[in-house]
Amino acid sequence: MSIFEYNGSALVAMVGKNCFAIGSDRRLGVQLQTIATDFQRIFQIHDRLFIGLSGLGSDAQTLYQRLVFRHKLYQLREERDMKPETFANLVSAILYEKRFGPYFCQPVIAGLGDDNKPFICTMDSIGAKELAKDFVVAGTASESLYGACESMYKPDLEPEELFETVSQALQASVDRDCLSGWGGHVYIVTPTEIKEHILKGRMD
Amino acid sequence: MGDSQYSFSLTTFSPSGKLVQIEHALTAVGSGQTSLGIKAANGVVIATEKKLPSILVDEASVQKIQLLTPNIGVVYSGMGPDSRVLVRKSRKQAEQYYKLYKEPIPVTQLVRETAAVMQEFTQSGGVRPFGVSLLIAGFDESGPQLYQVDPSGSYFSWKASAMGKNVSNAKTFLEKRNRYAARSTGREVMRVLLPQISHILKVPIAAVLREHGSDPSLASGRLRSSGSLQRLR
Repeated sequence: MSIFEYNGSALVAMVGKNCFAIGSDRRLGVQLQTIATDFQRIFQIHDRLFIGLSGLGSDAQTLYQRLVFRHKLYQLREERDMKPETFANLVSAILYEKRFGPYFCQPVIAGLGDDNKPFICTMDSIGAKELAKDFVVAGTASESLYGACESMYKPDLEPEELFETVSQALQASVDRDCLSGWGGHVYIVTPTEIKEHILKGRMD
Repeated sequence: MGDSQYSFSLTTFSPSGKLVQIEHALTAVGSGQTSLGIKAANGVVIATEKKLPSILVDEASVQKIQLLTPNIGVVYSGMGPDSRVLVRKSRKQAEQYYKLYKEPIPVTQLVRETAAVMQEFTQSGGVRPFGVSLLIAGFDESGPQLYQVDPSGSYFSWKASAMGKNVSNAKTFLEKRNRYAARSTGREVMRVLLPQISHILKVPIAAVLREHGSDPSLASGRLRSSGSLQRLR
């Protein structure tokens, strides 16, 4: 079994009209045994930038700490927040630094850029970026997420509809995956506010 | 190691609290060829004296204004070889920044990194301070910018600045024409002010303009001592 599937995870990010959504499951398991049902995989970098880290839970936490450190240094040096594109390149560079002993994480990055343009991207554990205009997925439920998102996604959704779409796609997908689930965690980010939702689904 | 007092940095405080080596470095700058920079409304111009030591020198081989990145240029007054070391280090810094963020380095960041190198050379063992002052000019998201960096590693942002020989004459001139420069385009500054300066200082001048969206090589030219601007390319 791959180390990427050891703890189980499901991550998805979607673009709407001047907004984006990023969602994850809440399970932390050791193979088929569930350890925690309130595990955090999505982290806030600044007001309009989020990163989700799928894969090995411990590496996700360590990588997050490094990213916070690098972003704080950047803020102090340049007196500004990082653009989502810039942050994605930084994450990519940090991951590739460990090319031959990688963090077992597949990140999903979502943010609002200048003029409120949403940006989403994902990459593999050694930092190869994959940009998308509509949605990106990662984790053990990624295959079912691709299917759910492809059939449910519509362009230019308003924040409320986008929340509905992401939540339904996430719940439908984790029910088809033994290693992720136990509810969901969804952020809806618009230029003016951030809404955080805790979802309940099949809690078994 | 540590065998004699000379194994320490040469820049040691004098009892009066001065760093004499840095003062000497500033003297070297002060006797170097004149350079100046002027910030305009939409760009920034840097220029320097281009007087050749002999008519036998191949003029094309003298390049005192150099690019650090496509949108940041630098000119020096003082010792040419010292400036090349700084240019090499600054270009490397800029590339490293680009490699990490895939975004061109902002002028302030490159200035700070360059100034940090110059400061390090006032405190390290086995080295001497740089015998140059730099004018770093560039254009980024916060608009046109002009910085002067001194051998001590201190740096300031200027509307217009001059350094080298005749610095007081040049600065008086810039103070008088400051308001004109602030509302003119870079091209106008280059066409109108530089010939006047060239005339006052009685030296031929080479200049590079960095304007929003323009190719710096297209805007570079050489001023004849008569004051007319001659396009290089």
